[in-house]
Amino acid sequence: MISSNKIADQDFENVALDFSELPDFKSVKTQGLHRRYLTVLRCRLLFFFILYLTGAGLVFFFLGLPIQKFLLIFSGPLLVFLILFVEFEIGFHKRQIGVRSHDLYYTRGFFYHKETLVPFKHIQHVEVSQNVILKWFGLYEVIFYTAGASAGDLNIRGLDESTSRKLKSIVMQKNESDESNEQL
Amino acid sequence: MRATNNFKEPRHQSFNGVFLMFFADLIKRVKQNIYILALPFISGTVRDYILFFYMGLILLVLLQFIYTYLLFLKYTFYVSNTAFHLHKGLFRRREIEIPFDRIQNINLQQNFLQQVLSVVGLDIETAGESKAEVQIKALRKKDAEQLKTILLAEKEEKQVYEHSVGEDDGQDAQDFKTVETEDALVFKLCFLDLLKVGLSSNILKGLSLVFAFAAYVYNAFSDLYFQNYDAYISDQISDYTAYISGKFLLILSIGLIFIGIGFIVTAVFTVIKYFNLKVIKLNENYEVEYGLFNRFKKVLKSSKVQTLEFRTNPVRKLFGFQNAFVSQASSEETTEKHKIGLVGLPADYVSLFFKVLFKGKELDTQKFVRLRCQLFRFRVDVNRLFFVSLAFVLFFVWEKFPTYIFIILLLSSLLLVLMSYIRMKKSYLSFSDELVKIGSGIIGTQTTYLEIYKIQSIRVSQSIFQKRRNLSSFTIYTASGSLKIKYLEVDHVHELTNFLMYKIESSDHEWI
Repeated sequence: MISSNKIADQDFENVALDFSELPDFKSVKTQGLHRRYLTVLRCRLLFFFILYLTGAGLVFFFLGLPIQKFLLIFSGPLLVFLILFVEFEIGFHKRQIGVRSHDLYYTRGFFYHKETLVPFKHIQHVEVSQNVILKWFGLYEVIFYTAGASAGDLNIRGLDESTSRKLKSIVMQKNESDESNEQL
Repeated sequence: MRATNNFKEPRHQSFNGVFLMFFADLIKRVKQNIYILALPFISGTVRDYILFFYMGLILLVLLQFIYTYLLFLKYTFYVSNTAFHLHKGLFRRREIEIPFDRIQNINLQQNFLQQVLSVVGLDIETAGESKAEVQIKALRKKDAEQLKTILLAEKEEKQVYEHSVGEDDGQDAQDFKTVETEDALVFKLCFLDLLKVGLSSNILKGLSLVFAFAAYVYNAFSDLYFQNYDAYISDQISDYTAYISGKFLLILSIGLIFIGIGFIVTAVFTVIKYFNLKVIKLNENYEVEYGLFNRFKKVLKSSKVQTLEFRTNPVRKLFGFQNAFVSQASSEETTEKHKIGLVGLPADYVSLFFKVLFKGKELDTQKFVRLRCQLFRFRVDVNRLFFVSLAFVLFFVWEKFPTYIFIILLLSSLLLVLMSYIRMKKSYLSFSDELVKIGSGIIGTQTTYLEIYKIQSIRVSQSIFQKRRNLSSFTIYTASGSLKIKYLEVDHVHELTNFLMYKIESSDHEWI
């Protein structure tokens, strides 16, 4: 492992561009999601947890499984709930949005940390939407579509109205001004 | 702007659209639930309550109509100064905004139902994903044509400016306009070479087909066959060990036969697929066609090319050629099926196509910097394999297991470990000033190239296990799908991301 590191390091220096002078994406100022969205996540988890408990209870009482077998089968989903709980509680504050002068930065995840960067000029269009649950809480979802399959799209859930409108207008404006620059 | 346009105000579709959508949805529902309609013929209880059954059906249809009508009311669109706006959705409201210059194409169409109701469908294609494309299903013909001209006029207006600045895109717009054609054959694969391609192709594809077929046959005839065989064996050999070795031989020979048939099937399929492969130059573009029964025909456009992938393996190296696969921008994830295959390319054609598809960049002059996949990936694989094998053994520990099963398990584990090691060694990401190059493969070697300015977005991801080792994974999204490299050094990924973002954002090329 060590030897291959060294080779890669040497190679890295060969590039004409000075890497330390490039704008650093980690230094972007970020903003979290709206706190109400944490409530949404908690409620959803609680809802499914209660659903699961009822299901498990019914199975236990009516099928009369031996307790060891029952625990073995039902501990799997329990683990999933635990992981999701930790992910929401600790990971919620890791969901951060940052706007740089040419791109959008979104990071999330505790167990599996992801950072996505989308250049403004590759955003095809922006969608602001709400499902029923988000509507109850007065929150919005903003989707930034890039070209091609949906995998590259950026999906940000749990923003309040002003932030989501602002994000949308920033992107639309940036694309507009980019084009007007090109026209000059 | 035109004086006549009346799309400034939000407006609905043509009222006939309600019926159009209603009938279309109704047909869909009936197709989905055809078995419910068949219930009265099957179940006696349903026949007893036939009145309620029909009333329920009518209620459902009514509800469907009301739903469609509400959807129609909530579906509005208008043209602003900068973009086309669409608002829709009853429970889930969606506001879609498409800037004029992002509009790729506008199609008018009329299917049978639309003809009957005398409306026209208007599709607005963007380069984005298919779901987000706007499909207005019912407009009066006059309106549809007017909307189309307005949108196209706005788009043109935008593009005129751009073209006075960016020269490379000039050719794009001319593609439709140039009429004279200068066809020239660039590459043709003769039958002998095609045969070589067939012989060197990945046997696993054919093998899986053979297995599927064999599983089907086995299911159909298993009872009959195995009873007879067991009876036959026990008649012939009474000794237990001889019985075991007999079975072992049987498995071995079946395996060999499978591989043999798989080999032939793969070769035949490949030959049929790429029969008479031809690449023709049409103006600035290239047309590729191949296939014996199904003639596959696609235009290769350098501006649309997202990735170029070269695949080789020891046999192909011996024959002295490589296979190239091109992914072009599309609204859905490009699968193997969508990739354009240029198979059996000798070395000089490899560099030729590279140059053609990447706007004159030379393969040899690119200076790549290589980031390697770290050894940790191999350790993760080995650990996984260890636990899977352990679980397997523990799970079957009560069964009376013949020794040869364990030998097979051990051998295949060793093989998997070896393969995992090679995979780790072959996996890397390189970048130059203009290109990214990604290597992968186990027995074969795949090298994928893409142009930096065509990258749509970038994702850096890290699991908590990777975090402890200072490793992370890197995903590049293009308009034809994504490419992921796992287990790179965190610092390198960090700098690479900065570099790529800088390159993408400072590039003055349009990505398409």
